Amino acid sequence: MAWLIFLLALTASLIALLMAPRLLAPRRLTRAKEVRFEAGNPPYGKARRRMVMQYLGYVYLAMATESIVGASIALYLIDAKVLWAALVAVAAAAATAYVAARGHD
Amino acid sequence: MSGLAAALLYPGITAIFAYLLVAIWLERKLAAKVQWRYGPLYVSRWLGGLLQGLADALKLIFSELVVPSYTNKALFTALPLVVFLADALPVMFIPGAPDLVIYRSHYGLAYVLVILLLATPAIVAMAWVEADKFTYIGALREILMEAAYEVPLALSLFAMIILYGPDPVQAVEAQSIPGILANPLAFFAFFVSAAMATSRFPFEIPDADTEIVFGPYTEYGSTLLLASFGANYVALYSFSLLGALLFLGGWAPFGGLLGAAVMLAKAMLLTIVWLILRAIYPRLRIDQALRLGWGSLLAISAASVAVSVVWRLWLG
Amino acid sequence: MLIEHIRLFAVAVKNALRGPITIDYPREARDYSDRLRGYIVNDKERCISCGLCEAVCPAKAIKFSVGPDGRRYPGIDYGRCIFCGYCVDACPTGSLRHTQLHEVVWTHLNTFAKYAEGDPEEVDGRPRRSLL
Ligand code: SF4
Ligand code: SF4
Repeated sequence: MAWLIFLLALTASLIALLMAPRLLAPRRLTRAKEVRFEAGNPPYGKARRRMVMQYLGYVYLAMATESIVGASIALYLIDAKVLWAALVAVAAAAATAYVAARGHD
Repeated sequence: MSGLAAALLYPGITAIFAYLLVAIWLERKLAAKVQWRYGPLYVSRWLGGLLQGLADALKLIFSELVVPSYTNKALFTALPLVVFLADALPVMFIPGAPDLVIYRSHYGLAYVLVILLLATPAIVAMAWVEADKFTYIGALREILMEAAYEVPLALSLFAMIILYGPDPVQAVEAQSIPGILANPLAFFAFFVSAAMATSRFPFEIPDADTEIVFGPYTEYGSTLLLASFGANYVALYSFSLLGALLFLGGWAPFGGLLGAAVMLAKAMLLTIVWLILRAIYPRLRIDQALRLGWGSLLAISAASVAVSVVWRLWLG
Repeated sequence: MLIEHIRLFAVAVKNALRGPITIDYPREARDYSDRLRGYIVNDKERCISCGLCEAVCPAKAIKFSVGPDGRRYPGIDYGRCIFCGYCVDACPTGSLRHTQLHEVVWTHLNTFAKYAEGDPEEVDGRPRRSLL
């Protein structure tokens, strides 16, 4: 039960926080407030521009490694007897990731 | 009854908001002291300026809440709250004292790990919905930072799970010597990856305010800023409770109310070290952080798992 | 490597214990010694309206306007003044003078451009602290 109270109270206080300015703060929308923030300049171009992908390899590495590590932890939690298999998997994943990251740049 | 106290007082709502106030004040004060300044002092001088954060919050409440017309308005307002909730959720599984736990679960530590890792997607979604150039760069950096810290964080927690089991309450009872002594490598990996996760200083890369305005929080003002940026400190609260629990012995050697105070003191001690980093280190580049995460930090966290296994074998 | 990081922390702790060198601002004032080129006041008794101060001002901050006694007095536009002190040096009678004040607030835009109408109090009771 306590967790429900916790969640409800937290959500309620956050929503109260959100509603407070609606009741208390002035509301004068101008065009300048409405547009995208661009450090004082009028917005131009797309917000989501092309990005360099030189670090994408790390994200890929994280995905791959994290799935193995996560699965190992989960398996270990389900059945403590697989500890050794989990350790081997984690060690292999970590070693591969370490070597792969070294070859990254 | 104790569940209710846990939910509403400590480690629940009241403690979270009190921590927000204290942590932000401490961060400003510590950085000021190291830089030979006074830091916040004007509001509530007798408390050393502690209530400055409250004054700032009041000021934010009375400032206009602007929801830009080009975004998805519902998501724009809802996502900061989601981020805040996601960062506060781990507190549910972390006991503040032997009985003071909001949701007692045998697999508490695993849940905590998963939720801590899921806070980043929430921040990225928030930055994506805000949709300006700075939040976009901030979102990308947030993704890359998560790529850097998630494996070391998972491994260091795995090491502690091997040592103490996944139940956070039993983890304290299992600590005959504090975890930081039993497995210093795991503590180091945990400490650094938590600094990365909450963008503490050398890794304050996603919201680098000298480079990209405020990263993922750029578009927010008023209480939305409070919720989105405060979420960072809530995450720090979760991390410091977790660190105090796993590495500093939790409420040991006491129990009950005194134990809760001891645990809070330990968490604050950790927090202070995290906060003072701001005054010590310069900001790293994203590639330096990535190389650190996939280099020495990965090696250290992998070694920490090995240390735990050695302990297990030795103790039987 | 690790030693370096420990030294960083040691320096931070050392600095934190040293105490602030800034002033406790609204309550204290920084002592800049009496040679500070601060806000400039004009002694209207001694001013002979010669206009040298206006001529020498590199920022063209000085404009003359007619005072209550019908004579013309210089007034400094502090939006332009660079506090170079040339006008004080040029003044033949010594009627222009620097004060110690450097944080003056005017509530109206026109007061400060006129001769001495917006002269603030010259003393404040705050304790002064020098940097060293
Ligand atoms: S101090 Fe310099 S700039 Fe200011 S009024 Fe005098 S001559 Fe002009
Ligand atoms: S130089 Fe001195 S005496 Fe001459 S007008 Fe200016 S203030 Fe008056």
